[in-house]
Amino acid sequence: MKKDIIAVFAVILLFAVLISGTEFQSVDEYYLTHADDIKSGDKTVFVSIDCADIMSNYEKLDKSLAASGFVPQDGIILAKTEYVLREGDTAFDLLLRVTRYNKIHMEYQGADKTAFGSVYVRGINHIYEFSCGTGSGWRYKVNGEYPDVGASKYVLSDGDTVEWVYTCDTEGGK
Amino acid sequence: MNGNYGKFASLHPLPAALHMLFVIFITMFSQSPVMLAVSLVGGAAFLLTLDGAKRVFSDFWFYLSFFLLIAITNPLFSHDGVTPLFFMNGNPVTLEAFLCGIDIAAMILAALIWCRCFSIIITADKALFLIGGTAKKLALVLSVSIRFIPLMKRKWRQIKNAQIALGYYSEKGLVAKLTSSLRVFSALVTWSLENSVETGMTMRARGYGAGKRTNYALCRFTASDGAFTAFSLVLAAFSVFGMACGAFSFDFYPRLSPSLISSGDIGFVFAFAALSFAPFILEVTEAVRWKYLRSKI
Amino acid sequence: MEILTLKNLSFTYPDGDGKAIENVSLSVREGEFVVICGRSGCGKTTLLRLMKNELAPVGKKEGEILFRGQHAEDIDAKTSAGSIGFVAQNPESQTVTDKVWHELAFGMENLGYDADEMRLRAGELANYFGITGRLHSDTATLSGGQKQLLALASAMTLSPEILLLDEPTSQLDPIAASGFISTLQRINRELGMTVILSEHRLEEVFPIADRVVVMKGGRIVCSDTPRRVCELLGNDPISAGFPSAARIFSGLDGKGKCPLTVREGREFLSSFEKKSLPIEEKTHSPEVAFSMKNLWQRYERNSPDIIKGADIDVFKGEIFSLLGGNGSGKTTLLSVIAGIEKAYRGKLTVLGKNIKKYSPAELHRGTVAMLPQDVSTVFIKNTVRDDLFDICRAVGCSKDEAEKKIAEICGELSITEVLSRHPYDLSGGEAQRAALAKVLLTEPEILLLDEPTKAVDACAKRVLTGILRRLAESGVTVFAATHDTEFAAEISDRCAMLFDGSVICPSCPQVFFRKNDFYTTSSSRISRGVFENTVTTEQVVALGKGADK
Repeated sequence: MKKDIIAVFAVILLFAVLISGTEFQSVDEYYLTHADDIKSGDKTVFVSIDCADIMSNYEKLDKSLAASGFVPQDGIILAKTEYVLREGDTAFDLLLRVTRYNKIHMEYQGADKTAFGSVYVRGINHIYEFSCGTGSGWRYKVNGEYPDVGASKYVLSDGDTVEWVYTCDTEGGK
Repeated sequence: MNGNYGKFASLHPLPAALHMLFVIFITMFSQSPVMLAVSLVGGAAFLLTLDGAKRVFSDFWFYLSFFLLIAITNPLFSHDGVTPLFFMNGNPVTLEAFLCGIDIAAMILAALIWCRCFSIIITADKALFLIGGTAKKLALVLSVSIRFIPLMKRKWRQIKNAQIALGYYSEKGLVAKLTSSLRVFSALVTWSLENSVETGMTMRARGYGAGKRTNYALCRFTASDGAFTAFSLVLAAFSVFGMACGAFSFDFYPRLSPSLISSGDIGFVFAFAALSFAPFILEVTEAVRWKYLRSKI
Repeated sequence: MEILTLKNLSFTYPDGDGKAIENVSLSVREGEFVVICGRSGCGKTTLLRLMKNELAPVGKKEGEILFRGQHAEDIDAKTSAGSIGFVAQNPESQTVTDKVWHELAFGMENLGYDADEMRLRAGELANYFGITGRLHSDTATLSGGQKQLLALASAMTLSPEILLLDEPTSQLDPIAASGFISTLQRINRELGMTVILSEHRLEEVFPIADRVVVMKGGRIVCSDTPRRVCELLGNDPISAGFPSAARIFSGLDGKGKCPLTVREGREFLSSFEKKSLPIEEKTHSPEVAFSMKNLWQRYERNSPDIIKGADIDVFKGEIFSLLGGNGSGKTTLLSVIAGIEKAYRGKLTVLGKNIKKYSPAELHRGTVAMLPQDVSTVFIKNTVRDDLFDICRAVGCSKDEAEKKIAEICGELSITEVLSRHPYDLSGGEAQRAALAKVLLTEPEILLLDEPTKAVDACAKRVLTGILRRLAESGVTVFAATHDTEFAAEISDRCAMLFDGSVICPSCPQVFFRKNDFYTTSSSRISRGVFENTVTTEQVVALGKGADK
């Protein structure tokens, strides 16, 4: 009986590992990412990561997160920077590259696991959805507008400005 | 009462049940590794005195693999934490998540062990007695039904054997087997009805429904039961207060809390330790006292 | 002083043809031990149930029942429950709760005893009945005998003034039954408890009864001291259940005081000339019905062996009795022969073919059949007729054929009258014959019987003996597992004992019981030293008739 429980559990675990893919990378490998140097004629976009909204809702912020020092005083995790746009890059591709390049922590859920068929960004720089109130989470703006599609479906074009913002009230933001 | 067990088992079921429920409750709502260790060790020590080393160690591999599985599962699904060990499909697998997994595993294991102790100490008739205090009818119905289960099982086997000997189960195939079982079942139902009519008659003959019922007090609430109730109530209340103050919480994400326990919370640790180890200490002192008495004889 | 008085009591069931109880008058003195006996269906149970208001059957009642001078109907429920204790036949159905302590407390809870009083009474009775060690056991783990003792103890918790017992030992094996009867005697002697007991196993209750009431067809035919009853009814068919000593006495037309116990019987026979009965070894057919060679069986891999190297040959047309105490493995051995359980070592050959080579259908259609201990498990339909037709269909008879067969077998087993009744409504003997009819319709060559005399009265036992003899003559091999030494002595061609998992000393009953001192029949004990090789009352009487005083 008890052995059965363990066995079932182990099988489920194995299954989970298999379907979530099995690409393992060491830490160094992972962060060894190049953001191409900007040459003239390259298409570029601007990216910024910002959590300033937390400052106005500081009382809702998770205590351990507040104590950890991962929330910068000015709310700027990554100041607006210009990066090379590769052919077919989506908003998410760029985020992934930028965070890896800058060694900023980022966790996402793959497109296959979300209901809307796009990647979902759960947390950046250890700041997660629900870290600052029940409606909080990461969203992105392109040229000051919230797009209708997920970040991994939005293909960027030359000169776009992508802003990743942490809002403490996603409902109100719409 | 429980002949094989010691002092704690001979307590009135109410304080015993209350005490263990408190510990289980507090354990389930704490994250602090110190508190969980206290609960886990206290529960394991108590279980050792109840079940004996042999029995517990035969289950050891179950507990260990259970523990490891949970500990490993957590970092697969939780990627927060400042110390990535490696990356899996682009998501970090972190030391913090792994430690948090161990912590959760310890919590579940501790709760599991206490539940096991609970089921050993609070036997079916003690549980019925506890229910009987508030719901007399329900307790009686349960008692009557519990008796009926082994009876029905035995009867099922007897009827089935009799029918096999008559050649009823001989056809191969699922449908034939099923119809055979159905016949046995219908016979069993008839028998149970017949039997319960007779039982009902016996109940009436023994005065059921003749007047107001009282309940047989299986256990008496003694002064030491009262003392133990007070003891566990006070400590549990103090611990819950500690919980409200955050003494039982511990942060894993994004970065581990700087110290395992703050100096201000030491008092709560001692309170919870006293609560968790009380059953074990009661059992052991009893055993030691026995040894001592025997050596004098 | 009279505690219970029946005056011209008659009772008719709503759907009954005649009166179940007719004009019964009886008065019971305080402290008296009264035994009511008679064939099943004579009205014993109805009479006993009428005496306790809560259990009184529905129907038309005439006459009066007075309990301490008060009409039974006027007694309030609480007093009635408290002062009249009742123990019924079936140990299973009269246990109400799951734990022994709760069972003891149940009656007291109902009557609203307070906690301390309950503890005291329960403690007292647990001590008196020697069940303190089992107080926290599940009632399901008790044996039938222990359950009946518990039922008696629970009735006693309410300090009754009178105890009514309706065939309390009918479902018990002889050892448990005599344990129960001696406890009852103790209660009567030590506490002065009035006891009214209906019984068909009279060997042990006659010597301790103050009065025996014999019923026939709802009437009292005789009500006197046991000795007088034995003298008066010595030649009546009802005497089949009387103690062996009394039967030998009346068989030999003894004069003077009728003996009731083995000791008294020996005294009576001591004046007879010493004689010896030649041993009749019945010649058996050379053909073997089934044979076991070094058979071993256990239920679980880690459980102890039940059968340990059983070796035996049983011949065709033989009646073979396997004796042995409770839990000696008799039922298990029968299950192995019946193909329900499997032996893990050894060889079992049935009609010259290894049992493993039989398909279930082959084995159970026309080869081996078993009548289980609890015959009610054989029935699965609502009437006996439906059940018999069902088995005929299963065997593959056409409707006309089935009707012919059923009519034939019912005539033989005299169950034609009960065909349309529900199997659960039959008396012990009737139910057994009906079940036997169903089993025999598979036309087995080997008939296995598990405790065939358990719930059956002396007359029904006689009928069964006749049926089994006829079956054996027609070539059916009968293999019975039983505790009942008297029955085994009377019916068997050979007996053997199952002890420690193996079959010991198969021999003809005369030899088998002559050798035993304890595990033997009363007749053998009574006649020992005077007559040699006599193990049944018939043999003693036959030898005694030819002997000079």
